[in-house]
Amino acid sequence: MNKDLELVLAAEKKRYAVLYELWKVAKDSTQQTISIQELVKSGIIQEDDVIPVLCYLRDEGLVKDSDRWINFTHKGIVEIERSIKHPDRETEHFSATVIQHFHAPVGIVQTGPGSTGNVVDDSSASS
Amino acid sequence: MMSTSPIDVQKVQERRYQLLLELWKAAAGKQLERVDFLQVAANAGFDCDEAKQIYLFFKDEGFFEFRNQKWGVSLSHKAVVEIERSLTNPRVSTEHFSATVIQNFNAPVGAVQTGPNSTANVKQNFGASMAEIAELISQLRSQFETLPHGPREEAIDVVDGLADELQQPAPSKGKVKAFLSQIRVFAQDLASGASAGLLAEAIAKSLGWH
Repeated sequence: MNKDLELVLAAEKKRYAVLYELWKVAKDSTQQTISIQELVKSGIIQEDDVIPVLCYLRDEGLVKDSDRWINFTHKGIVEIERSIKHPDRETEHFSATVIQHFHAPVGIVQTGPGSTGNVVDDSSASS
Repeated sequence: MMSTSPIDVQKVQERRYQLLLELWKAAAGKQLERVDFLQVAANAGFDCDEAKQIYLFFKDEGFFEFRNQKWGVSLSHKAVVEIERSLTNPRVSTEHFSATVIQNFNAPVGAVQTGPNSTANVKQNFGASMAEIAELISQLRSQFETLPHGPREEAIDVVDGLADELQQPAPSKGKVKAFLSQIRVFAQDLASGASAGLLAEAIAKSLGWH
């Protein structure tokens, strides 16, 4: 895959990880907050990525942040819910590749000419 | 009186895009990461005067979050979004850069037509990705082997047709798309249909035709 595109997808993945973690705690509440320090401690986000990731999410209107806490905006909830409901579709801010990294029922999504992958489809549960 | 042609404008836009992309790379794609504007420009082959002109344009367009007197800058949210959009959708113009400009740097295709009288001979070179595509096709074939007699032969015929078409010097986009849509139909008959469908998607994406 193109290295620049890889960088974009890596950034998207970090942003989505934070949003998804927030959703696990807050669900559909715009009032429920989550501690940024906790996100770092639990390895959801690296210390160095906190500022760029949170600035992006805030500037895109997906979260609100105050001091060391963040909470959803309505737009943020809508975006994460859409991604969970339709993991095969891209949303305004996240590509399907990134969403499926967190929610895909299958083993692989190929995105570019340099990428490789092996698919193992485990359908034992349904047989 | 001197006039400015669309070609001149396009060249200026290309230079701006190139430098913005270099700044974004130097900042590892991060908003607020400080980089030395003139150093990045010099490393990318821009002379000082041109770099300063572009600096003023970027400043006026709000591409910098931070600036100091020693040419230290950090990219703004707007600049990061602009570059990311151009990379994820090189076929779509952004607020500041036309698709033609973007595809000059990020295009998966061989040529972009821009005017009524322009011509181009395009030969798509899949290069290194062909090995991966061949592997994906092989995985599809294996999955279709599990179909019952009848649909199995038809599905494998379609996969073989796709493989043959991709071996052509200039594969037909229409034929490949038709094969892929047939594959998606057969994938629905598989217990593991989702992954066969995704393999078809992966092939389309690898070809840049998704």
